[in-house]
Amino acid sequence: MSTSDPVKFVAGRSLWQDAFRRLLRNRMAVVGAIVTLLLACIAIFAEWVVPVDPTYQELHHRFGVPGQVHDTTPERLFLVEGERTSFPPLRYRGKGTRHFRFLVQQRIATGVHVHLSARSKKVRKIQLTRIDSLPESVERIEVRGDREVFRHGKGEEEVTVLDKEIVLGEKLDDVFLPLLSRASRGRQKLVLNQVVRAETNQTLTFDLESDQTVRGLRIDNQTVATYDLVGRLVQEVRRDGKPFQHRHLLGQDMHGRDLFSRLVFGARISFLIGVVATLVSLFIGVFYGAVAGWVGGRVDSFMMRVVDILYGIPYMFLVIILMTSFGRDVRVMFIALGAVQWLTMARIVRGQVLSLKEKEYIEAARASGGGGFWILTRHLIPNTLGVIAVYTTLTIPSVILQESFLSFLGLSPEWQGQPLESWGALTWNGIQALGTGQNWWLLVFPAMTLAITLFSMNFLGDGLRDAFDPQMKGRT
Amino acid sequence: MARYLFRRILFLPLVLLVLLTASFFLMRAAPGDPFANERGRDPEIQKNLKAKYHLDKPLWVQYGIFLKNLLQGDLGLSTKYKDRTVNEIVAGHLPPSVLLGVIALLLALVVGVATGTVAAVRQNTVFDYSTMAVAMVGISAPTFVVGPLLVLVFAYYLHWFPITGWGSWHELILPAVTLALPFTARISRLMRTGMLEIIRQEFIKTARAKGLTETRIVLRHAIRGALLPVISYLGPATAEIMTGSLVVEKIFQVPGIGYEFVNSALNRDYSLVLGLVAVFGTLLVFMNLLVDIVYGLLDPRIRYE
Amino acid sequence: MTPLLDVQNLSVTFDTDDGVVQAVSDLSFHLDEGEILGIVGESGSGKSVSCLAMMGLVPSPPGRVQGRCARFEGEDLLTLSARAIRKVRGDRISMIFQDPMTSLNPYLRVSSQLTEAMRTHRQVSRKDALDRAVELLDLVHIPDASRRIHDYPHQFSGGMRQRVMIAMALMLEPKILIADEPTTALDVTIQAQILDLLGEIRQRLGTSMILITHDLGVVAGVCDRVGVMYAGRFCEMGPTDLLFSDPSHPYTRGLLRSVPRIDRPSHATLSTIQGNPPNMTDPPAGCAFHPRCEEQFDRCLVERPEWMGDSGEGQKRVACWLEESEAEGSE
Ligand SMILES: Nc1ncnc2c1ncn2[C@@H]1O[C@H](COP(=O)(O)OP(=O)(O)OP(=O)(O)O)[C@@H](O)[C@H]1O
Ligand SMILES: [Mg+2]
Repeated sequence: MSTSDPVKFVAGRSLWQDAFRRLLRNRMAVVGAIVTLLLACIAIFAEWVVPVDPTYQELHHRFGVPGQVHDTTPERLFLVEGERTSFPPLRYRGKGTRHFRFLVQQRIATGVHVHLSARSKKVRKIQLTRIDSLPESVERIEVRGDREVFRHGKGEEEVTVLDKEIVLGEKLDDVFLPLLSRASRGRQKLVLNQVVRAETNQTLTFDLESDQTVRGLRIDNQTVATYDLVGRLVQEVRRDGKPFQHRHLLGQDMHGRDLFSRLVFGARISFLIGVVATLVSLFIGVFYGAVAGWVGGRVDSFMMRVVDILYGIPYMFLVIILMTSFGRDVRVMFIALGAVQWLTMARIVRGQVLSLKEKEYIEAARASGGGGFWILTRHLIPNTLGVIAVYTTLTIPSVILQESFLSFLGLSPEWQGQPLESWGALTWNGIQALGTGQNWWLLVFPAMTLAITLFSMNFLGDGLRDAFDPQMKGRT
Repeated sequence: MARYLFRRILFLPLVLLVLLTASFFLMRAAPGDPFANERGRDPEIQKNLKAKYHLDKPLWVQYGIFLKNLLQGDLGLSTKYKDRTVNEIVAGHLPPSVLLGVIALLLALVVGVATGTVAAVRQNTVFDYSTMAVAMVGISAPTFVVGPLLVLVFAYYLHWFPITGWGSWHELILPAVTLALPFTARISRLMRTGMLEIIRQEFIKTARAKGLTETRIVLRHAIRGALLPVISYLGPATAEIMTGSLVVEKIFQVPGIGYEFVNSALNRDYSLVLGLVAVFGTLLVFMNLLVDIVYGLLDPRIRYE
Repeated sequence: MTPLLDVQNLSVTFDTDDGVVQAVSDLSFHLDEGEILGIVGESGSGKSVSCLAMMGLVPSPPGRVQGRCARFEGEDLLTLSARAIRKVRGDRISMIFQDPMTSLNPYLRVSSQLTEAMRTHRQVSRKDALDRAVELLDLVHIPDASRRIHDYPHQFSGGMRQRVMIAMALMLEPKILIADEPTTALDVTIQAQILDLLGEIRQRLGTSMILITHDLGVVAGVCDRVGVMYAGRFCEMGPTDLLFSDPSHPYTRGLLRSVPRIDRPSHATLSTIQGNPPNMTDPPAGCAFHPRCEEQFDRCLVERPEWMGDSGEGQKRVACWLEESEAEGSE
């Protein structure tokens, strides 16, 4: 494969501007770029986009039709006594100060031990302060130093209010959080009468430890969610206890999960794998190609012969074998898919290096005593960057495609034992759940999302290639 | 031609060998063995089983045995279906896959070459634009998206074809079309670019100056050169068709070797996986060789090299 | 005597991204029976396009052909239907191109490329066509023609391929052979052979030819009459010897001065014409040559020179205001 004259990529800004102008003139490429960017944003900001947690099951609304609006009532909060469980890590991240409030239902309680542990040192301190807004049925009567008296349905209760700052050290801290009980419909509901203020931009893990323990809780500044033993979302309510409404734009699956939210999180997985595996391939390919091109001679022809042989191999078979033998850890997938894609990159980089090597300024750099490394960093890398960038953009959609292909075959990647369900897996789920065709949305939406994504990325990639490397126009 | 073919004949088995070796060691390098999951087996039986499949021997010896048997055409015993040889399983599942693959390839060739040619000749017309737009869809939309959607529309709603199954011709159409679509699209694009490139050549001007009709110019003077990129694409296309057959056979439940491969990999059925890889690899090598021969026949510059 | 080919006011334009290219403007010339007409001019002056236009081979779009007529054997080539002009092409008018390396189809045997024009235009058996092809290959001095005819183009050398092209063009004994720079891509000794061959063919078959070239040496050797083209128009036209001995147009003079000649001492400096060819999307007003002309005066800047001189046999015509002022001066 002959690549274009690398001179075109010499840093001269006008050439880049030129390429950019050519790109802008290609309308399909521009549309592709916009859609791709939009999807990337959705993937990055998935938490802000989704109306509801993608793992949240509304079991009474299985196969919900697209467009329905459902209330989530806070009735099904539950907890089990005597078990120690930990919360799944807070999924929703954000910088700055955030307020968390616990809403726990239990029989009798004066408080729970909260085992606060931060997974990163970036969490500086956690501050426990008093709560200001109380549940309707509870009233603050009196403040006596660090104790407060509340009245609720069952009478008055005096509680110690923590109003202190806990600085997290190396050691994990145990804090006793007093709880304020509140009577409610036969069973007692307790509101943890504290606001935990955490100055953090990292994942926080709350372990709740007491003789009355919920199975799992996730709290953020709007919602409170409970999880069952395996970490699946059971219920999610608004902090103020009002019904939480979801519109299921694209319908619900066989477990009553919101398809739109699942697609949004699927985007994150697809993009993540696409980008990381591409980076892996970039690394291998650039290294291999640069070495072959730079050393040249016999080594080069041998190395390229190897590439030729590897080109002939139907890779997906090996990837499938790899994934079935070494487990489906997402890291295995990164490497497997990255290893598939590096060949073209290696050829391109080699070609670039080879022709650049002949250029006068490299000779000049050599003559003036610049070492190999200097030449590499000063001339080769900047000069090959353009082509590499273009082919990287072209690689991402094909990795996404391959990942979806594997997921479709039932080889979804996993992370810490949890399947990461990308669009390919959702499409396969859609086929299985098709019934007699009445649950069409479960197939059509994931499939179309995937197709549209690949469509736009291919248009963008083609446009980039035509803009940066006009000689390659229409070759593939 | 002879020299050219000779080089290819030396080269292609190397591809096969690399594929087989990589598959072999990937399978064996993984922790555990195919019998580890079968609980309640007493250690004695486990040991016997391992001995039967040579799993107790050093890896290199196993590899040697595997290659030796392979050369004799013996693919060994399935580790999952213990009473069946891999040869039997392959013999049972190969025909549907080959049938499907060949039909898909032919379909892709005929439709792709025809549409690509017309699009090139009528460049910048509505036909050209719409063909290329459809081709872009065909390339971008993966088999596992198109297949299910076709099933939904043509099987569930329109009832033109059965949903899944294998045996009669109209059960063949949807899987064949699904499998062929991406290749049709790519061939169509290749054909169009090839054709446009050829049409710009001087010798087409010569042909025009002779007073030949456009049809004749295209069919006689242009098509050969324009076909060359398509022909060389058929090698990689075969590999892609094989990969595509994995999902198509899964969607349509075709009892072929693609479906069998995925299952055997999931079951970690060592000998079946390797046997199937060997079959795929051999088919691929033969297809590539065929492509090389056809290429040489079409391009006299290679034939008389 | 009516000429074999009579072209009047032929114009060709191309619509491009940068504007309308006026490739050929208002071109008139004729070609007599058995005559070899040379057309000379620098690259881009419209030589090829004007010939392609007569053959109906200008790609459209972007090309547009206009003109009063191009009369050939009672037909007007410019108004013929596509189908009718196809019947003319390769039969009564045939054409050979500059680069023999790319003008033959590399995928087809020479035999089939040679015979197909004949089999398209005449009802001839394969065998007869093949015999005729061998005969012509002999005529163009291809050794061992009956065997070589089954070879592929890449098995021939460049000069041989051009011979094959010529043989191909002559298969149906055309009235006119248009040779578009037939020797440019060949090396000097081969050039001479090909030119000799063209002369020989005229002798033997009486074919009229239009020989396009930018090499005045070629013209001097074989042409009866020469037209000098500049910016899509003729600036001078006349019998070869007259034009060479007494060039009137400053451009012709410039061209002649830039030709290395045996009869001049080799150390004499060759002068070249200053400046660049005009931009054909926006040609200069007045005489298109004036920006490069050393003898230009006011009138050249504003008014396009008319076609001056006698139209009679053996006369020279020129489009230059100098001619007029000279004529006035001598009166
Ligand atoms: N298909 C086309 N599209 C646009 N412009 C064209 C096309 N073909 C020719 N031209 C323009 O027409 C003009 C005349 O071209 P032509 O090929 O006749 O030149 P020429 O005299 O034969 O030159 P050369 O000696 O290089 O063959 C040129 O300016 C050229 O750019
Ligand atoms: Mg020309």
